[in-house]
Parts: sequence; structure tokens; C-alpha cells
Amino acid sequence: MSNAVNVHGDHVEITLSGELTFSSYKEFQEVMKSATDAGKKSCIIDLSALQSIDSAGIGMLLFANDETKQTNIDLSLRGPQGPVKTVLEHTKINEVIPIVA
Amino acid sequence: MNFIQPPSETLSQAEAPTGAAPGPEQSIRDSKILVVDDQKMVRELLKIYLQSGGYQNLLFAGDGDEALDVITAEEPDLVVLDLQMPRMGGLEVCQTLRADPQFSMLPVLVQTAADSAEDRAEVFRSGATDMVGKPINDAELLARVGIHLQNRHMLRQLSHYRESMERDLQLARDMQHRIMPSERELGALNEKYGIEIRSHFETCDALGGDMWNAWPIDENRMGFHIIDFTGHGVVASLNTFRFQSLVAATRFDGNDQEAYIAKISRRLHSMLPAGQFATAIGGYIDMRENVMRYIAAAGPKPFLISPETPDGMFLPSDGRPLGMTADSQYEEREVAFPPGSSLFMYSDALTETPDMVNPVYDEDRIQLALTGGLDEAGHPFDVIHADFCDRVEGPLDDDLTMVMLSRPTQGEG
Repeated sequence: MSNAVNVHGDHVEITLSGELTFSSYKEFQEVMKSATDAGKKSCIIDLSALQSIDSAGIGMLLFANDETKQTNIDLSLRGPQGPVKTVLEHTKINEVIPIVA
Repeated sequence: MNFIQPPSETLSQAEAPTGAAPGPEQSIRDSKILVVDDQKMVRELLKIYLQSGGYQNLLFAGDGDEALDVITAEEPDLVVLDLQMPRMGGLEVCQTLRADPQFSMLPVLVQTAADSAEDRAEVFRSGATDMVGKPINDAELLARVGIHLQNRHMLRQLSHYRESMERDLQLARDMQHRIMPSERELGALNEKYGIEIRSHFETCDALGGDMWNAWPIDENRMGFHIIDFTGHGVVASLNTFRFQSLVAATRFDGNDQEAYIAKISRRLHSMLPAGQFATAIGGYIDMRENVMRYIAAAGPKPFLISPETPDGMFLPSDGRPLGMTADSQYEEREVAFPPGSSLFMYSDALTETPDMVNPVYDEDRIQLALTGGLDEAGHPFDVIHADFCDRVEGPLDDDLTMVMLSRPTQGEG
């Protein structure tokens, strides 16, 4: 997995690419920390360049959702494609974390 | 982790007169040390030195041949070895020991007067662990003996730890297999409902996060589920036991599956750490109404073959994974399941091993394998199992479970 974190006005944007799996755990935690540390009131995780995700990856998104809720940050996901989109739909993640256009 | 103590510390221990300062620990002092030298006087000298260091358990040999015999018979913890000896010399003893897996780790201290770098290199090449310079200095000897015995002692403790860990894992693995239906239970289900069940359960680590079950609900209905917890290994397997005790304590009464699964999911959510959940398919087959009613929690799509759909079809299985949130709702789905129907369920290792982007096994292949498209003889379950094993090289990187429930056509079975 690789990532980029950018601040745009009132929100912070994380772009993930590659695979979000168990081995990305530490990196993902660090990315989320730097995003929440930015002190913005919303956070968007852009998934359009993410190629695959496994159950541990889903778990990390859920974990991030829990964490951001506690600090009153609105978390949303954007642009899942291909297999990632299929997995998110299959597990109904959109009912838990909003997926924005 | 560093096993080697700073030499200065060990030296000061060894230099201290016996009894004045704490010497090596008791278990190290009890170590068996073999002294090999062709000169009786040297053997006597080494004996005095070693005894002064607290070592009482000493063995002696006068040449290389005798040394190998004593080593085989007595299995000492350390050998102090002379180089120049009649019959077999020290270098040859080293080489012989290193070629034998039983003694490849045995610490061997070679006494040598060799002072050229080339000579010392040759001693190490032959397999010596360390050297003590000749003439022997008692402090140096005790320091080196102390270090190597300590290393050996720690390695032993580590390997004991590993052995006991392996024993525990084996026990846990047996326990894990026992939370799934036994042959006897499957036989009883077959007797009661006429349903034949075939299954395969394989973990990629010693323990796994998959499980499945089938059980009688009442006269006409047989319940089943297949579950896959996030991750694999010990943590995931603990979750299978959690789940097992949860469903054992909260049995499905046969009435409202949707409410039942929502309750199980809510309980799991409160038990599991954030980010852990399970994908699952569960439900029951009603033999009188000839239907299957199931709840999906995002498990892989089950494959159904029935007299109406001889080419088979994948059933929808989208739904919130169990334990993902506290308020997950579930929807019961119903399909016809008359005699002659089969249901194939599997964990995602089947379609995700080993490369998630380009899986070696996909839904098309499942359909082909289960509906006679591979031109292989035998039960469809055995065909898909063999075909999968053929296509996957090396060990699995996730747990694999496959279950097939088949109702014989009427008059059969």
C-alpha cells in the first residue's frame, strides 16, 4: 500500500493505492493519525487507486471510523473501483461509513 | 535477543575464588563437561581448574576415538578438546561431531597453542565453537566454559519452550476440530434428514478463524452455518471459540432467524475488539417444505444446484458481517431446495488464494467443477477439492473451509 495525505480547506484527504491488507496495518494507523492530527472536521479516504482490500482492510476502515467518531471528525470514503467496490457493497460498509461521489 | 554476556562480567565471575562471589547458576554448574587430552597431567590440571569453578560433573578421554565414544554414550554439555592426539586428532573429532545432527550444536572448546591467524581459522573451519590458548590459564578457561554453557542452557530453555508451545497448539488444534461436526454427528443427520454432508477444513497456521456446523433443529429442519473471522492464526481461532460458546448459550429456537442473527451479531460486536468481525452464511433446510431459508452476512456466494437449475446458480450473500456494528439488521432469503438439490459453501480462501487481484479460482471455475464441466469422475465435492489443490501451489495464505450439503433425489439414499 502507498498513501498521500493532503489538507484542503476544511477537510483532510487521504489517498490510498495498492492493497489494503493486514500488512498495511501499521502504515494505515500512521496515516490516520496524521490525518486526525491535522485538526480538520472531516476526513475523506479516496479509494479510487486502491486495487484490493481484504477482511483486515475492512476492519481497518471500521476501526478508523470508530476513532474519528470519538474525535468528532466525519469520515467518508470515495470512489472505490473494481474488486474494492464489490467487497464494500458485499459487506454493506456504505451503511456504516458514507461513500461520497 | 542477545545470548552472549559481556565477557568482562563473566571474567570477573570466573576469577573470583569459589564461594566468594556467585558463580555460574546451579543448573549450569551441574553440566557434564568432557575433557579430551592424551596427557594425563593436562587432564588433571583441567580437572582442578574446572572443579575450582564449581564444575563437578566431569568426564575424561585420552584420544579422539575414545572422545567420540564417550560423547555418544554420555551426551556431555561441553567438550574441552586437545588438537594433537594419537589415533584421532581434535580437528577430525570436530568435523565428525558437526556432521552428526545430534551433536552439531554441542559446544567444543579447542585448546591450542596456534598463534597464526591461518591456524586459528582452520580450527574454526573444522567446527570448533571457541578456543582456549595453551598454556591454559584458569580464568580464561572458566570464562569461556561459562559463556558457552550459559548459551547452551538458554538454547535448551528456548527449545523446551518451543516444544511446549507446539504441544499446546496441537491440543488447541484438536479442540478446534472438535467444535465442528464429528463423523458420528454427520451420520446421525444423514439418518434423520437424508442429507449427505461433505466437508474440508484446513488452516494456514496451526489454528484458524474458520468454522462450520450443521445440527438438527426439529423433525423437518436442519440448521447449518459457515463462518470466517477476520485474520487467521491464534486470535482468529479464539473468536471461533467465542462464537461457539455464544451460539451454544443462545440456541436458535427455529422461529425468527432475522432477530436471532441480529442478536448474535450484537453480542459479537460487544465481545470483539474494534475492526474484528466475521463473514458468514447460515440458515436451515426444511425437508417438508422443500426450501432453504438463509441469512447472509457477507460470506462468499453459496452455489446451489437443484433439479430446476441443473447448471447451478450463485445465491446472493451480501449483508453486514457479524459483529461489525451493534445495530446490524439481517434479511432472510428463501430458495427452493427439493430432493436432488445441493448447496456448496466455502470460505474466501477458495477464491482469494494466493493473489486477490488474479485469483487462481473464481466463480466460473466453481460452477464448472461442480456441474461436471471438468469431465472428472466422482462426487462434485471431490472434483472441486482436487481441482483446487491442483491449481494452488505451496501453502495456503488463508484458512480454507468447503462444505457441501446434498439432498438425494426421491427414492435414493
